Amino acid sequence: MTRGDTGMVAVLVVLFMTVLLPVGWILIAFPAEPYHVLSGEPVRHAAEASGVRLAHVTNITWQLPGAMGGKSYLLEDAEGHTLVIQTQTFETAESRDAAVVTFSAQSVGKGRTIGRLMVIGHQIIHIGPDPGGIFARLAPELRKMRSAG
Amino acid sequence: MSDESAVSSRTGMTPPKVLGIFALAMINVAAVLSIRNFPSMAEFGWSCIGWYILGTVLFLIPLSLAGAELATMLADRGGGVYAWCKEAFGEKGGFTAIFCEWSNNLVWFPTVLAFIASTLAFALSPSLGTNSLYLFAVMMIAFWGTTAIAYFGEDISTKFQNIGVILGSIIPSILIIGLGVWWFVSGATIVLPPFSPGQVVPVINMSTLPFFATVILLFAGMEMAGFHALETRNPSTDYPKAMALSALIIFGCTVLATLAIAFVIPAKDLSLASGVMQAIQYFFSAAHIPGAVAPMAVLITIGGVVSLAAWLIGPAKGLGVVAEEGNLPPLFNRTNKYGSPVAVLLIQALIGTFVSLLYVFLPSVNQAYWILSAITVELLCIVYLLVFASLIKLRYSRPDAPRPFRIPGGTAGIWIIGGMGAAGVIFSFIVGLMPTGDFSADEIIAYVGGILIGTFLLAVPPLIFLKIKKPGWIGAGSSKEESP
Repeated sequence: MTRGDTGMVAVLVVLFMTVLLPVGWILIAFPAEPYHVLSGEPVRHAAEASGVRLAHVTNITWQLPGAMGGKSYLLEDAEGHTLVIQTQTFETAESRDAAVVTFSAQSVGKGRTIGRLMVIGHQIIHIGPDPGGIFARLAPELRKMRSAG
Repeated sequence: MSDESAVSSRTGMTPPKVLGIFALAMINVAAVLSIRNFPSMAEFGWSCIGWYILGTVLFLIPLSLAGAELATMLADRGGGVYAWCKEAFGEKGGFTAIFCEWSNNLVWFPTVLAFIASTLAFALSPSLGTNSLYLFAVMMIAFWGTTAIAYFGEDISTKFQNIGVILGSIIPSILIIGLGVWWFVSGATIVLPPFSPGQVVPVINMSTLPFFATVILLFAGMEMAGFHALETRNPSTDYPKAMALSALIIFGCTVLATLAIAFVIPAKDLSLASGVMQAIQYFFSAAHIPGAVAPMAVLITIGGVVSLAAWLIGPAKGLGVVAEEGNLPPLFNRTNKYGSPVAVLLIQALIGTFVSLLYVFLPSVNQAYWILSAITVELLCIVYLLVFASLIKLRYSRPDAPRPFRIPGGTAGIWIIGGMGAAGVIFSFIVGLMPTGDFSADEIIAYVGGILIGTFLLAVPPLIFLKIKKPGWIGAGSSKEESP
C-alpha cells in the first residue's frame, strides 16, 4: 500500500468515526430500557399523584405485532387544557423495540415526531400534543417509575 | 472562467441539459411532500391550517424566494447551497453548508428507510414489522437500489423521481383529498367541530415550542432543485417557475390532505404511535374501501423511496463538486461516465448502511433516537442559516450581479425575507436543544452535550479538510473513470 493510499484510508476512517462517535456515544449514554412486566397503570398513578384529572379512559390495542392492549387517557387540567396519553404493553422486548422503531420513523419532514414516547418496562407510553403543558406535571412520577425499573 | 467551468474543462465533463420546469419542480416535491406528515398534523384539527401557514411564512416562502434568487444568479455553478454560500462566505462557508446538508442525511437515512420498510410490511404482512432481518433487508434494497439509480446519472434518476413522485406522493394525496371531499359532500359526519376563525390560530407556549420548531422545518428540502442547476435547460427562467410550482403543489396537497384526514378520523383515534398506515387504514375503512389500503401502502412506500432519492442524490452531487474543486482528498473525486459522483455515493452508502445496522439491531433506544433526530434538525438549521445569510450578504457584496429573479422590495425586501428565514432557523436551533419532560435532570446535561457534540463533529470536517488541503487534490482522481 502506498503512502497516498494509507492517507486515503485514514481519511475514510476519520469520516466514519465522525459519524460513529456521536451516534455511538449517544447510544451508550442513553441505553435501552430493560424489559420487565410492570404492574398497575403508570399514567393513572402519575395523574393522581400530580392532581391532574382523568377525564376519560378507554381500552385500546395498537395494530402492531406483539401489542397486547392498553389504555387511552384523556387528561384535563384546571384550566381546561387536555392531553391524550396512550399506553400499550408488548409481549416481548423485540416487539416493544420494533414499535419504538416504527414510531421513530414517523417524523414530520426531516424534523421530529409529533408527540413523544416513553418506555417503562414492557409498556410504551405515547404522549400526544400537549399545548397545556400537562405532561410536565406527570413526568417526574413517570421518571421515578422508569428508574425504579 | 468560473471554478466550475474550470472543473468542467479539467474533467471533460459537460452535464447534459435534461431538466425543465416540471422535472425541477418534481425534485423539490419529492424531497418535501410526504404522506406521513398528514395524520400527525391532522391531530391538531383546524389549527393545522395555522401551523402550516406559520411554516409557510417563516420558511417555505423565504427559502423558495432565496433559492430562486441565488440559483438564477449563480446559474452557471453546480453544487446548489455549496455554490450559493461559497459565493458569499468563501470556501469555508460553502463547504460547511454542503457538508452539513450531506452529513445530516447520514443520521436521517435510517429513519426514512425504516419508514419505507415498515410501510411495505403493512402491504405484505404486518407481522414482518417486528422482524429485524426483514427490516434491514428492505432498508438495504431501498438504499442501495436508490444509490444504483443515482449512479446512472441525471437522466435516469430524474425519470425515476418524476414517475415516483407522481405515484408515491401526488396520487395518494389526491386520493385522500378526493375522499375527504366525497365525505364532506355526502353528508357524512365531520368529526371536526364547526369551523370558526379562532380555531385556526395555533397555541404557542413553552409546551408547544418544540412542535413550532418542527413546523418551521416542515418544508425543508425546497433547495434540492438547486443542486441540479448545471443540468437545467434554462435556469434563469425555469428555476423560479419550478420553485413556484413545487411550493404550490406541496402547500396545496399538504393542507387539503391533512384536513381530509381530520374530517374523517377523530383525534383520539389517530394512534400515531402505531404508524401512519393505521391512520390510512382507518380512513379508507371509514370510506368503505378497505381494499385500497394495501395499494396505498405500496404507493406510500414509493413516495418514501423518491424522498430518499431526492435527499440522497442532491447533496451527494454538491459534495461531488467540492471534490472536483480539490477541497476533498482525491478519493472523493470519482465521477463516472454518467456524470455521477460515484465515490461520494459509495462512501455515503457505506456509512448509511452501518448507521442503519445500529438502528435496526440495537435494542430499543427511544431517547437516543430523539437525540439523533435533534442532531439532524441542528445540522439543517446551520445549512439554512448560511443560505439566508448568503442571500443578504450577496446583495451587498455583489449588488450589480445579474439576478434574473430578484426578490422584490430592494434592501428592505431582502432583509424581511432573509431575516424571517434566518430568525426561524435560529429559533429552531435553540429549541432543538430543549429537552422534553422524559429526560431527568441528570440526563439533561448528556442530552444537550450529546446534541452539541454530535452536531459539532458532523459539521467540522470541512474545516479540517480545508486545513490539510493539498494543491495536488485539484483534478486528481477524476481521470480514473471513463469520460464520455
